[in-house]
Amino acid sequence: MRTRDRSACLLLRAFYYGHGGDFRLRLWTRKSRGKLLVPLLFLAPALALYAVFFVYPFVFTFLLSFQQWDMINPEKTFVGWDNYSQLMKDDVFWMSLRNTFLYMLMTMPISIAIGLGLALLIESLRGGRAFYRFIFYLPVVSSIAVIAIIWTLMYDDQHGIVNELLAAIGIDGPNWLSQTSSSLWAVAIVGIWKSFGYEMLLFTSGLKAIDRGIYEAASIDGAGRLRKFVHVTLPLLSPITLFIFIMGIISSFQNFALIKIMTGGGPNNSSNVLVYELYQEAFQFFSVGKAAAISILLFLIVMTITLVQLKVSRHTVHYQ
Amino acid sequence: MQKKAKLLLPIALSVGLTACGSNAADDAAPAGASSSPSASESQAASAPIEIEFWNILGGELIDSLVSDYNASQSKVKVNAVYVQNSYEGIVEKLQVQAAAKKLPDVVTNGLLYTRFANDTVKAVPLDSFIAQETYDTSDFFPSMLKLGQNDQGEQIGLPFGISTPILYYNADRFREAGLDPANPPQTWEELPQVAKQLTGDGHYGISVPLDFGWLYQAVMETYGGSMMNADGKTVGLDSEASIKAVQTIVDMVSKDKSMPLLQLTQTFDSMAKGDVSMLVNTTAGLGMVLPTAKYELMTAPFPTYAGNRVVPAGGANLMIFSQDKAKQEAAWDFVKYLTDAKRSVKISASTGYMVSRQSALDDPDMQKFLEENPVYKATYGQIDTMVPWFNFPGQGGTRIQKIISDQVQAALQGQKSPEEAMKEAAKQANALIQS
Amino acid sequence: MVRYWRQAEETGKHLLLAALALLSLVPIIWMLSISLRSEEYVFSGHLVWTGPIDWDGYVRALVDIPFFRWFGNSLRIGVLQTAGQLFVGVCAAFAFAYYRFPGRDALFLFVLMTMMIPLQVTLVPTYLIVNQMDALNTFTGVIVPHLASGYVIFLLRQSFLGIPRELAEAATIDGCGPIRTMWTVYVRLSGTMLWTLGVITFLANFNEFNWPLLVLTDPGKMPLPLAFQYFRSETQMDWGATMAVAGLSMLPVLLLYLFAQRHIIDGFAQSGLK
Repeated sequence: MRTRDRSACLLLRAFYYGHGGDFRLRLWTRKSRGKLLVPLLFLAPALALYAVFFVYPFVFTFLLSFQQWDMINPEKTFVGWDNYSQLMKDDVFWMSLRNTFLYMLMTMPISIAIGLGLALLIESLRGGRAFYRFIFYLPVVSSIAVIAIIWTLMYDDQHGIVNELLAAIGIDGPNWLSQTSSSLWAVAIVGIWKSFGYEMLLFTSGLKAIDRGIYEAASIDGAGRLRKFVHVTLPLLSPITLFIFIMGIISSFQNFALIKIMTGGGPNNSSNVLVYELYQEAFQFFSVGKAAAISILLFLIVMTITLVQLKVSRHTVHYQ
Repeated sequence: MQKKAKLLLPIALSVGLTACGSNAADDAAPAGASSSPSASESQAASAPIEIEFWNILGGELIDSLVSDYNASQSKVKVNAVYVQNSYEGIVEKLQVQAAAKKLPDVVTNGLLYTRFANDTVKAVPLDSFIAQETYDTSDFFPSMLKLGQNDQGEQIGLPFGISTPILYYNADRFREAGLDPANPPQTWEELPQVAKQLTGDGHYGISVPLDFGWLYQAVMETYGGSMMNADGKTVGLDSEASIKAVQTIVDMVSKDKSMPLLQLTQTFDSMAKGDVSMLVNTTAGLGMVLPTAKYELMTAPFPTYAGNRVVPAGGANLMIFSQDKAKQEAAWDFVKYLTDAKRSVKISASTGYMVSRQSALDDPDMQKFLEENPVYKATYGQIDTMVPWFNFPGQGGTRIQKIISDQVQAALQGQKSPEEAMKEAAKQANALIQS
Repeated sequence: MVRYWRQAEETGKHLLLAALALLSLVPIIWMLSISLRSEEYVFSGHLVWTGPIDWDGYVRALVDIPFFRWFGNSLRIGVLQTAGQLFVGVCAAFAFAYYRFPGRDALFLFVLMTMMIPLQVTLVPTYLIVNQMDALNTFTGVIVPHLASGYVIFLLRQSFLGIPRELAEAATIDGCGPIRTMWTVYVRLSGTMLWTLGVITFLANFNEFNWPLLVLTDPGKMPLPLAFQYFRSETQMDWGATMAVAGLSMLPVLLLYLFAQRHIIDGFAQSGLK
């Protein structure tokens, strides 16, 4: 679910704000004299829900990663680090890991570039802005299951639109979903298509929040369009860019439905990603413990990347 | 206050709509139950026992089978649940619901998962039901009946729809290429040549989705190999026969270019559209291909190799999983209904699966159907050479299927030679079996 | 002269955008195109269909399946889940924004971390819990696990932080209890953000696919995204009807988005996402 992913970065940024611009964690505020009871009461529904639906499942999964279970019979056998060590030796795991990263690298830059480009272009129009924004957001609000099926049809080697259009401009398109060299790209293209509208939206709100006065001041200083873009727009967009990056990465790691419906991870694991491998381990190989191990590893990877991004952001992100 | 109103409107709307929705549901539901048992029944005029029936076909066929059954008696009410994703989907759902202790009552369980159903999910053996009413099972084709037995010889399922792989071919394209449709290729030796002749003009000659474990078993065992070696401890994936089988198909893809790379489900579409002129796949695909094919479709038995033919049985068994005695009885009653001759004919006519009873085959309706639609006949000629769909032993069973699929794909994609691919498959599979 | 350049530039931009828009709409146009074809033509021909138009797909979509019931299900899930998330979020954000108490920041960081947990990590255990609650195959089971949404909590907190404390303190001095303070000060003044969040989360919840797929088994309860796959003849997908359902199911979402567009962007801008 995207909503959950978006929050990650937003929260982190709030943190940054809330602490006057640095990330040192203050576990206990100085003014801890405040009443504890009342705020906790307000937090109670959220905390209760988190406890039941996040903490417990997470701990459950963590413990499960050290066991072997087929989900059907109640017995679970303790196997220590076996699941993890087997994963380390499993070619499919490394392939999935590689594909997960590749997928992220394929979708993020392109989708962000398109989103930014469109946001700038549309914002600079004098009329018809709402219309274009509406159109470009359509892919985002379409149901993913439907989209996956439509694109599968579109990728058909002999009757699909994609190769037909490519042929019209003289390119011989590959057999998208059935070749190891192109299967991941095929999914990535759909991923980009489905998300650039959202990035466009966020960039638009970021652009709107930039004070016009700064541009005017820059003009007075003699800056041309390009310089304004590089030295005013980009830096002032950097907070939201950071947000988009973090959220986008988390989201790309969770891409499941497209893989399941379009390629099933194949051919020969060329489009298998960690979340799909996890699903296969649990539901096709009845090895829920291993699936749990994969999910814990996935969580650690996501956390690490996010924290690294935040660290980097201290030097590159400018806040007004 | 305006904001409040704005929020209230959608809420009111949704509540209203769903209220309408659930009213409709309430009206529809009792239609079956209202035909209650007559007053002369015992005073425990109980409501019908409700059981769940999982299937992968859906559509009119299942709807009519279920509603006919429900209407024919009042002790059992069946709720059909359509499960996505074929037999894999059923297994997935079984897993999840087993964990929640909510197993279904009757399931069409794929033959690949017979061992799984028996060992892990503990399907209910039917022998006691058969014995208690001396249910006659002699009418079933023996080879099919055997498919529903576990290693101990207990009958845990009855055949629902059994299939074998056959050769589909496009008679019109045959004629265009100067071939005689009345004489389709009968051997693997001649098949590649015919495929090459049929290729061209934007059409491919053939499709053999070898990465589907079932078809791999078919081709490989026809070539003389076997999935498991005689010692029972090592797999036969890297045998000469296996490598030769894979090589034949790989050559058609890369050397002759007579076969496209397709995903399994696409192969039927492809055949129907005429993109490929021949297809080696399950007879159960007839329900998909025949209606939409705009050419004369014909079928032939699975090709032989060196005069031999071995075909694994595909399709499903009907199995019972409920633990409650009353529900088991109800489920058994439904199973009997679904496997009787008339129903067998109905299922077969609409899907391409074979009938499972001799009497069903002899049934005049069925005979007439086969006369009018000769394409459905091809599979019956192979019943005697049918073997079970191989279920690898142990926990790693389904994982091995994936290993086979991956390695065959690697060979088809040209990433590895068939020899390398199958040796790798054997290596990984053996590691799993021996662990 | 300058005016002509400006005009040309504007036109140029429009042309470019129109071309890109068309390109990105291809899948959707194709979906609509297939929905209007009868079965035998589904795979022939090209993007834009010039043959006979067959409304049968739409007729079947509305008649053969309980389309409105499914739509109602989606609506129900969307509204209830969104309302719930907003409620939980407002309470939590209020606590985070207004009060100071030991452990506040740690708890907030915790909320943030829950975002990073991929769905699959918690999927199976959550399913088992829902089962223990006896809520499988019910709307409760679909909605309740997702009521605590860090996204909502964060954005609301962000918005609340923008409201001067003095207002709330004044309200307290005037004798308002905490609930009234929360309502009259924070909620009433966060109208735009609430509306924005409401729309965005509604859109996401309406379209939710993975979780309802797992929890709901009764076809009568399914929301639209799940339901479209039900179009099959015995063994095959009825593409015309499937695409018709797909198109129809996207319609309400699009309309909602159309009307709420401005709010979404303004809401984001106001929240200080600078």
